Amino acid sequence: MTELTIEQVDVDGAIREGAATIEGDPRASFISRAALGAAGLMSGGAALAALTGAASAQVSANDASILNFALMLEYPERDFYRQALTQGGAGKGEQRRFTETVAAHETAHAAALVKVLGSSAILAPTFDFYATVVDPAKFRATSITVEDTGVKAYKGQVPLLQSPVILAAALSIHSAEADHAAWIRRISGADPTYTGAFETPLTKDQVLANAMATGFIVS
Amino acid sequence: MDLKILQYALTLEYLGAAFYESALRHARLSGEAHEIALTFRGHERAHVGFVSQVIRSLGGRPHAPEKFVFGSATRSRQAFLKTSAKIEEMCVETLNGARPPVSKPVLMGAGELVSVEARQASWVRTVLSVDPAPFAFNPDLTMRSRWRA
Repeated sequence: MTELTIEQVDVDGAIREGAATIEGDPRASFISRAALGAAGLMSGGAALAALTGAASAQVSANDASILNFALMLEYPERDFYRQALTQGGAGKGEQRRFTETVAAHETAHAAALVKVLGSSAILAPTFDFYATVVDPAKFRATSITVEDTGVKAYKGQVPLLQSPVILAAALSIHSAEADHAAWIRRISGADPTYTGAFETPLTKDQVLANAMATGFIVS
Repeated sequence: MDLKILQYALTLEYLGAAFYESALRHARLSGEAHEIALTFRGHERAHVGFVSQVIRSLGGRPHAPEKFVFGSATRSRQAFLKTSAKIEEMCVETLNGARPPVSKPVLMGAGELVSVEARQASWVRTVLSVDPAPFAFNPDLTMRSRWRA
């Protein structure tokens, strides 16, 4: 049996330095200090740059179709959180912080996808979210569904992508959606890791069926 | 390629399983921190089984668990939570680094685990009152580093 210390696994010091500094320290700062230079860590910003740096002409038809499918999910997510911020659903305290944070993230996801797709990007439909953006309890329940579905939708599509650059960006969005899902679940008193040790992807057809069942898409 | 990477992933899962086991023994946890340690130990043990199975299916032999020394990291609630957050973030960043030439089946396997690790990281961060979703685009460690194995 080999004896390993945490130092040997944590080769670039990210765990130890992070554990020492996490309190009150923006996560990005120790990541850049500890890991960016030597270990080839790609920051969120770099993933975004890599994604938007890919000219739309270089995106294969296969990948464009998948990205448009992702965009079809990001548009309603973005509008859902934005409307909840102005119509009361965001509530207050931690729930409002969640809504502000996630509204910004989904806006960034949609903008990145539009930029990569260029003229082949689908246009945003019109949505009606009814009481789910007005009533804080209904907002929480819908938010859980939206984020859990988002995680499983990206998970199903990532292995189908051809471009490694786009695949990397899609993976980085995928786990960000999982962060959102766990957060709103904990705020709601629901199990953040309700899937257990494994989370199963949804196919495109399953996601589309779920999306249509919400009745949120007006036109 | 796949087998070297999978053996590294197995080390990470052994690390996680041993860490939560050690915390449950030594950190005198209660309430939500105890629930986290218990839940995550179960997940990491299941992941050990899953990764071992994938290694065997590719004709390899899963290596024996390393012995980990956690020191003060599992001796108090606060140290446990902080280290847990870092371990889970490292797992997310590592799994996010999976891409070709890693084969598609292994990629899909990594995908099944990564959102669970992300949910764990986010949960622990909420308990620590640290931003549970710090990035619109989560970072990854590229092939050149972790996945070099």
